[in-house]
Order: sequence, then structure tokens, then C-alpha cells
Amino acid sequence: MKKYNSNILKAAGFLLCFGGTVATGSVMAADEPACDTCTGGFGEDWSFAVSGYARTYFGVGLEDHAETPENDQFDFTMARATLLLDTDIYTGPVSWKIVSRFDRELQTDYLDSLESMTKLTSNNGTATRGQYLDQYNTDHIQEFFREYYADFALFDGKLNMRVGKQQLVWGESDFFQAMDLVHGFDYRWRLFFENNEDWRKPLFLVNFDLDLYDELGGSLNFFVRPGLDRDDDVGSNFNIEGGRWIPHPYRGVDFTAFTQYNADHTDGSQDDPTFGFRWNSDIGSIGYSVAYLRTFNPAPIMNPAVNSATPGAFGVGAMNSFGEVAQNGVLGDWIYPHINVFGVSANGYAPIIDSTLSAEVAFIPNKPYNFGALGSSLPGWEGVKTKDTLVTMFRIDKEFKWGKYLGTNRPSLSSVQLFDTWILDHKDSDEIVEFASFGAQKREHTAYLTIFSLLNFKRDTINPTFVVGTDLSNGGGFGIAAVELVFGDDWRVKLEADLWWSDGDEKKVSASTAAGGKVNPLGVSENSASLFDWFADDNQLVLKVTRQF
Amino acid sequence: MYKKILATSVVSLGLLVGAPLSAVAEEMPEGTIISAENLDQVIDMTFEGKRVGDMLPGKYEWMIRNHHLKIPVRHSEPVPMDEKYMTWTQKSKETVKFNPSDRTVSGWEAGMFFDPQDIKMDDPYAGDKLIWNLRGPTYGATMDLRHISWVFLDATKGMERIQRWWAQRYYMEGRLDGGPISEGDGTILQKTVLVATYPQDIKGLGIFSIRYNDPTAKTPDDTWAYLKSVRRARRLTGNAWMDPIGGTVQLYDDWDIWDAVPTKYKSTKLIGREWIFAIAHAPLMTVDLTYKNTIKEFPAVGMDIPPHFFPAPQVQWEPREVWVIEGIPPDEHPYSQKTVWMEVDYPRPYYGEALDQNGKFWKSFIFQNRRDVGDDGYLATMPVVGHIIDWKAEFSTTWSSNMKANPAGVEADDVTLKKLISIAK
Repeated sequence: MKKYNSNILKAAGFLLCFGGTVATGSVMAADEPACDTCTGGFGEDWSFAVSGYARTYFGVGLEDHAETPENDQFDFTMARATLLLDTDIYTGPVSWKIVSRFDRELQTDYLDSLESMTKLTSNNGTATRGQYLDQYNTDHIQEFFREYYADFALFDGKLNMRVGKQQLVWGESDFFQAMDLVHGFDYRWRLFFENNEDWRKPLFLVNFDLDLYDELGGSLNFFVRPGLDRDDDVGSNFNIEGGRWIPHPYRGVDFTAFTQYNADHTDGSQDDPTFGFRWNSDIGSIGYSVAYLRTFNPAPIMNPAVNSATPGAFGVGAMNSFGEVAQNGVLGDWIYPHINVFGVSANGYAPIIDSTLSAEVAFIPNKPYNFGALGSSLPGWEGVKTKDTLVTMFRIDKEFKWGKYLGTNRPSLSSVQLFDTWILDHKDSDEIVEFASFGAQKREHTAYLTIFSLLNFKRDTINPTFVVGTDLSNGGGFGIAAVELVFGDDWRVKLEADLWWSDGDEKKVSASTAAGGKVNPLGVSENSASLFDWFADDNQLVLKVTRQF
Repeated sequence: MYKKILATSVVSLGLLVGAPLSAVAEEMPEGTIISAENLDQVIDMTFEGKRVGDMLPGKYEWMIRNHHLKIPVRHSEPVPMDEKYMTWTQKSKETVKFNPSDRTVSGWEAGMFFDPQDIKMDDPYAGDKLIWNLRGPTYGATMDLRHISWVFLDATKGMERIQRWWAQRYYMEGRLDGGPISEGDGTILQKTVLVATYPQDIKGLGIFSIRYNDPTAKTPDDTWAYLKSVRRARRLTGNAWMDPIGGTVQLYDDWDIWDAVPTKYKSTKLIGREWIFAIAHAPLMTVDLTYKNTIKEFPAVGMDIPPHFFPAPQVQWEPREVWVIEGIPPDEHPYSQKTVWMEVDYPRPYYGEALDQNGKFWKSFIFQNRRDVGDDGYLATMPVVGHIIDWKAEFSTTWSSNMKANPAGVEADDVTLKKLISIAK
């Protein structure tokens, strides 16, 4: 019955999205007056407005992936369709927002290949419930209703409240997270390069904003997440299901066959409320914020299965539980321990260099990291150590007037950002890793330098973007070249090349068995694979076609 | 000697004969539509006693002859300003001081900074004084740019796309809405919020800016952009005041044809006082949401008539006496020169032109203005349609709005960064 329903959803989804892309075109082009009560938008006492888009994504890999027996170069890695409805309702003093999204994917040959690998190496994973595309498709009503909340004001507008499932973004950093830690991200279907509102995981929050400008010259934002979310909604997903964005060499290895997410861990239970406070103000024309946040560690942390012999078989020696013993008796649980974050951010315009300067500092005492067993097949599986960590971001934004040289129609926003994570009492003997499963020791400083420039031509109808980022501590990096084309009110086409480079330390796939599986699905032991080694073979082209309405 | 006397006599005779000839030039009837087809016939006629050709400033004649601009003509009608505004203008005479050394002003509280009746053509600072008048709150203490849309119009293809925005500007100084004249600590002149609401890809993209009450203009504007796609406000350069608004061909500095205080410009100069045809009585309905997403939504713009971006045939032009002021922006500004034609009795710009960095004609600005009565009874005269035309690209982004002066219930706290973020959801 489940499969039957899933097939109906799959077919309906594609008809809705691909077909909708065309259908909405003809409907919206009709030259007939809209009702004058449907103006919608802020300022209308009573109104209702729906907008949104139907969108298709196509991803093509530019390299062969060693995990699969086939040559994957130029295979479609993604064929995805999305229908998004953005509903605004104004009912006098209360306004409402509903953002609903329906995603469907076609299982491309590449995903077929990964699924075949999964059946050979790690069958019966739990996260995908037998349907390989569950990791990408909308298959739960809470996934469909991404955001729904009410806005209203109390005490003569002094206290603004937003109650419901929503996204709350703090901090200043691009690409990486310093204070933007209220929510996790779903990295399974796409990774870095999309607008992050699309892959941030909304949460049910009671969000207050108290206006104290008259009294104290600022405002106090505070929120409580009462713990009403699904377990799946907290923390970030690193595609441990073995899909197209699990780091190499784990494509096709479904870790949910021998590990599991555990959002009930005593030190990271979804049921426990999380909360935060942020004071926003300014000194002269310098804007600043000071914040405290209790939230979930954004990356999953492995709580190893101490009672299992399995990790030992993979070369892991002594293992230690982090708090309670893992529920999964094979390799362990992925947990999102609670962390406390103390943050400060500031921004201001410096006329002397005609640039905007931004900075952000977040102190996270006792931030959890996996450690140990660096040379084994399961690096980081010895357990969890906590370290005081200081995250610092500094950024310069400048607008370059390249119009007379390039023909851009307005100044080009360009930005240079340095993002550093500093483990304060770092010791090599701690053997801390960035992410369990990879053996590169996390250094005292992990610093990323990113640069981007946005160009706009022909009244913003041709919009190229260039991004380059590099890991100054471990080597490797990424480059993105994208161009978005604007056709009238309705159509948008974006072509993007996502390119990666590494320092050659990537973790290798182990030899194949006669049956087509792997001698060791966890790859060849190493102690050098850092972030950009994980994606060393993932150069890809992505085409995005949007019909908005 | 006889020849000289004869010559003098002929010239004198000519003058004597010529003067009555012009005095009896044919009066062009009201309702005439000046166009390329009849321009040669009407150019030497008079209207309200002024020669028609003399009321076609700047590139008017070029636009009529080469680009199908049509000017339906009506008789002029006085547009009295609000009594409070004029009373405060008289008070300003006693308090406002102009400092020639840095072109700043001091002592202003409300109304015009300088009574235009006192402006003399030979005053080297007349341009600065008139632009100071423009940069006070000229059409209400709070501006609600209700239903504002920029329509992207190609001279050949017509409507390309629409961008809808929500916008308010709140003056912290010179307020004449019955509340305090000045709000806050006196450091802020005005605050502006501008948020896109359509189409979906720019919905939630917004700007909040603060212009400080610094007559030297040395304090840069504080400007933030809210990017809904990342759900965060990002500080922008203090020079955003000379950037284009979104993808339009209009700069923030073209907001009211000329949005900068005079000291942001290298210099200003009053170069003339003349009569021109201008739009001072625009249609009352300039955005008709009954016809949303069609060209009928914008009845004051002739979008179905090539080149698609001039005022619609129903829009009537009338003789208005104007100041002509020329400004030289700072070097980093996209323009090398801007000229504005502005009503003599109060600061209401009707027409403008801009030159590019090479001194070549680039843009023209035709603004449609009309009377509006604020919710508090304030008599405001305001722009409701702005035709910003990029002649290099033969493209216009023409905005239309059901502008409202002094909307009830709007307070200083309603035009803030926080408000921008709450709207841009």
C-alpha cells in the first residue's frame, strides 16, 4: 500500500511540476482582470495572495565516480521537480504565512547505480524506508508544509510575535555557520549552492521581538523552540543514506543500515526546549548584536555502539559512549548534542575605503567532536570530546563600478570573507576529526577564504555569479560559475557549474568483490581527507528552470 | 550717413512691425495634441500668451519629432500649497541661514528653506537654495508609495515585465501633520523602506535607508538590503544613494528626479526661469488594480502606443513656470550632469535630463504630478508616475503609484529595518 501510494505521489508530482510549468504559463498569460480584492500584500487589512513557482532541476556529473562500476561521467545525477506555494493571508491584526513545497525526483541512471550499490553493501537501511527516493521526495505532511506561522503585535506594537513553523536566521556569515545555528540544513539533495532558505530545516518556534528603541536604543529578539518538531527536523542531514551528496567514497553506502539518527539522546533530545536571546542595537552607525543561543550541534556526532564488536572489526579500539549508550547496536547513533553559543556581530560602512565591513564571533564552550581511530575504517569512532571553540568571521563587501569596462548595469557587489574555527585547547593527541568517517585530524585553526562577485547586465536580465572558496588550513576548494537569465515576469533559467579541487588526499574506494560489492564498504583507511577531499570528484553542471507565478 | 540712418530706420520699422505681429500670433486651442505631425504648424503659435516652441524644453522637440511623444494641452491652473507649508516658509526667512563657504543651511524647521519669491537669477547659490527646498518634505511628512510598480518598457517590444514594491518614506524633520515638527534626536532627516512584492524571485528583496540630518552630507547614508533568499539584512555601501533601484534604469538619486541634498553634488547652478509644458494635473487613478498584470493597470502610461513609455493620451500637459537647475554630481556618480525643471512657486520637479560620464545625453525623466489630500487634510502636490527613459537603450522603467500623503496611523517606528524584515517575509 505504501508503495502504491508512493507511485501515485510520484506520478502526481511530476505531472504537477513539469506539467504545471507549462500550464501556469497559459493561465497566467490570460489577459483578464484579476479581482480587485485580490491585491494582496502588506498594508491590506484583509487579503489573501498566493504566489510561488514550479521549478525543475537537472544535475549532470562531469566526472566518473569510483564507487560505481559504470562510467558516470555526464550522467544525470538529479532530475527534480518542485512546486512551491507561498501564501500570505492578512486578517486585520494577525497575518499568516504558509510556505508549502512539493518535491519529486526521477530516479536517474546514476541513482539507480547507487541504489544497486546500496543493495550490495548496506541493504535494509532505515531512513529511506525501502524507497530510495525518500531521501529526496516530499513524503510527509510536515515536509510539504515547510513554514506556517502567524504574525501579530502586542502592547501597542511594542512586542512583535511570530508563532509557528518558521526560519529564524541570526548572524552575518556567508556559506558557513557561526551564529546561524537555530536550524539545521538538509544537505541531501543539493549542498552548498542554492539559496539557503530552500534547504534550511524550519522549526516550530515562538519568536518574540521586543522593541526597546525608545528606552534602550535597541530591540531584544528572543525565541523558544518548545520541542514540538519531528525528530527529523533538528540538526543537519549529511546524506548518510548513501545518496548523491554523501561524501566520497561512500556513494551507495547507506549508513542507516548500521547506524541511526537518535534525536532522543539525553544530551540532544528534540523534546527538550531550545532557546536564544539576541540584542540588536547600534553605536553611531555601527550596527551590532549580542546573542546567546542554546541549540543543537549542527553537524551529526557519532555516539559509538560501545557494546558492539563491529567497530572493533573495522580497527577501532576502545570506544566511549557520549552520555547514554547508543540505541543502534551495530555502529552507533548520530546525535545532535545541545550546545551553548555566545555570539557578537557588528557591521558598518567605512567611507574611506567605500566598503562595508562585517564581523562575527561565536564562542561555543564544550563543543562536541568525534575523535580517535584515525587510521581505522571508522575514524572518529572512539567517542566524543568536547572543546571550547571560537568561530570568527571577517568580511569586506565592496561595490565595483565595472559598467564602463564590462557593460554591467549597476555596481557589482563583491565580497571577501575569512571564516575561521579555532579549537582553543587543541592538542594533536586529542585526534579530533572534522566528521566521523574521515581520518584527517582537525587542526587548531580551520580557515576558509571565500570570494564572490555578482554581475548584472541588461537591467538585471543576465546575472552571472562567480564564487571561489578555499580551505587555507587543509587545501582544496570550490569554484562556482553561474548565470541566471530573466525572461519577463515568469521565466527564470539558471545554469551553474560547480567545480571542486582537492589536494589529492581524498579517501579511496576499496577493491570490488566478485559480486560487485566492496571488500570494505567504508573505503581504504586514511588520515588525510578533509572537507574538500570529500567532494573531489563532484564537478557538475546544474540547470534550473523556473516558472513563477 | 544717409545709409546709416536708412538702415536704422529699417531696423526700427521692423521692430515696430514685428512686435505687433508676435503679439497677434495665433493662439493654439486648448485640447490640441502637439505631435510630430503638427509641430511645425503650432510651434510659433502661442498658448496662454507664450510661444509654444518656447515651452518645449530640453529634448522635448526631439522626442516629439523622432520618438512620437504627443502632448495634449490644457489650460494651466494654480496649485496652491498647504497653508501650514507656506506659513512655515515665511517663518524660515527669519531663521534659515545659508553658508556660502560650504553650501550648507542651518536654522530650518519646516516648510521651504528659502522663499522662491526671494530667489534671484544672479544669486550664485540660487541652485543650492532651490534644491534644499526640494529635499525637505515637499509633499507630506510621510509618503506612502501605495501600489507602486516599475514597468519595464522596451521602445520596440513594449511591456517586458513588472516589478511591484511596497514603499514608505518618513521624514523626521519638517513634519506638518499635526504632530511634532521634529521627531527623534534631530540626527535623522528621513528614513525610507522599499520592498519588492512581485515577482516571486525578488519578493522579499528590500532596502532600508537612513539619510542623516547633516547639511554637509559628509555623514553617509546607512543602508541595509534584506535578502529573503538568505533571510538576512546585509549592510550596504553608503554610496547606494547613486545606485540603480533593482534592475531598473532609475537611480535612487532619481527618486524625485533629484533626491540628493545639494551638498552631495559638486555644484548646482540656476540656469534659467521659463515656461514649459508639464503635467501638474495627472489622472486621479494611476494604478487600477482591477486590471492587475495587464497594461490597463497603468492608465496614465501609453503602454499600447509605441514607444510604449510616454504618458497616455488622457494625460494633459499645461504651461508651468519653472526654474531650470543644473547639477554636477560627484565623479563616481553614473551621471556627469543632471538638469531639473522645477515649479517656481514650490519644489515640484516636472522634467529632468541626465548626461553620461562622457557628457552624452542619456536619460530623460518625465514626472506626472497631481494634488492629493492627506488623511490629516494636508494639501500635497506629488508625483504619481515617473517615466525614466534610458535613451541609449531606448528602454524605460516607468513607475506608477497611487501615492498617498500622510497616511493615517504611520509612525516613525513603522519605517525601520525591523519593519522591512517583517514585510519581506
